[in-house]
Amino acid sequence: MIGSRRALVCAIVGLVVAGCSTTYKPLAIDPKTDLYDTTTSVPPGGVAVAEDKVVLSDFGAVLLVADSNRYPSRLEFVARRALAELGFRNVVNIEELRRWAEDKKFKLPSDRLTIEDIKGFSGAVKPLLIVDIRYGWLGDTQHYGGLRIVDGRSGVSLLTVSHPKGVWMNVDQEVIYPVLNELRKWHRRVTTKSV
Amino acid sequence: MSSLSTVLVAFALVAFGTTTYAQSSKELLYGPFEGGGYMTTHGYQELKLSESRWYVAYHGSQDTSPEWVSIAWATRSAQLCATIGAKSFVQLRYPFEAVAQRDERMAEQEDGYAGVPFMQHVAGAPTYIPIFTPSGPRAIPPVLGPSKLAAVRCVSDSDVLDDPGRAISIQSSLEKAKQSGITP
Repeated sequence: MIGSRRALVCAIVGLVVAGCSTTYKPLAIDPKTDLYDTTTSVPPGGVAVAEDKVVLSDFGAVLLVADSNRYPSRLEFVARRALAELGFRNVVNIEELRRWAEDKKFKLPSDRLTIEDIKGFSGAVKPLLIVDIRYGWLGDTQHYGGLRIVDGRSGVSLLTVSHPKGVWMNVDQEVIYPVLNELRKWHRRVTTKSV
Repeated sequence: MSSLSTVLVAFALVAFGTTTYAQSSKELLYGPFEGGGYMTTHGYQELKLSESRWYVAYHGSQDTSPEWVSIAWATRSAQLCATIGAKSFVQLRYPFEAVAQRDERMAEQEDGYAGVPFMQHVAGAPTYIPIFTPSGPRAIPPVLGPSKLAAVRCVSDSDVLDDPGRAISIQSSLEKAKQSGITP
């Protein structure tokens, strides 16, 4: 009996270790909902600020900031794909923005960029839409997904998503893609209004 | 109870074994990135930006050297450009960088989009507060793996490059890949 209990505990631990890991696997969009096919979604309280009176074609590029304590570059590519699927062509990360600024003879500080720097760049070169995405494993079963979209011309937050979640099975489906679904919902609202 | 635990143990072993096998078998293999498990795998991903541009990523694991990742990235870039009949490619400093005369003409056309409000003055603009990842039950050390993400511009015979020295030959990239044990 003790042996079987021990085996059960081992099995559960094995399942959790194998199942709740972050894979950053590409996920298909459900044609019926036009959203990523996830098992959960962000609760309504997780979408804190939403401004949808924006004309997306006014922006010259998206500045993508992706941060994670689990392979941040993989998260960046997931976000790039999500943006590409929404039709955003010109997406740059911080390093690429610096090189672009260099070509345009626009001086950016060499250390930390502030919103004032982005506002200056947006006015002088091309308007930037900032997409700031976060994912973190907080320990045990706790994970966090976050997203903020900011108008680089004014610093106004257009969308903020905060999604802490206990995950047992699949981080992609329960944290990362539900956050990206909020980006798709916001994009749908914005494009519908501007039409 | 006994049969249930046996089934669970078997399932856990299969699930864990699959990821471990994936890691060991893909360690020296070059291929597409299909998501990493707990024991992470590696591979390439790409997004097509236009007829001659791709955004290419190669994700390594903790056991992959940055040099190998760089060669694998160039291999994938060469493969993609070869599909459209290009002989070489340029690694772009940012995805829409103009590297050929044709690119500059296209950029000028795009810059000419009139009536764009480059600057909006918003009264009492709110302050931007960066979001941060909250701390959890315990401190988690970050897991990083070497990755290379960059855009490429495929170069055809009709392209006149501003700096021909930046062009990387597809043939030489593929030869270098072979020398490094990468079989495209």
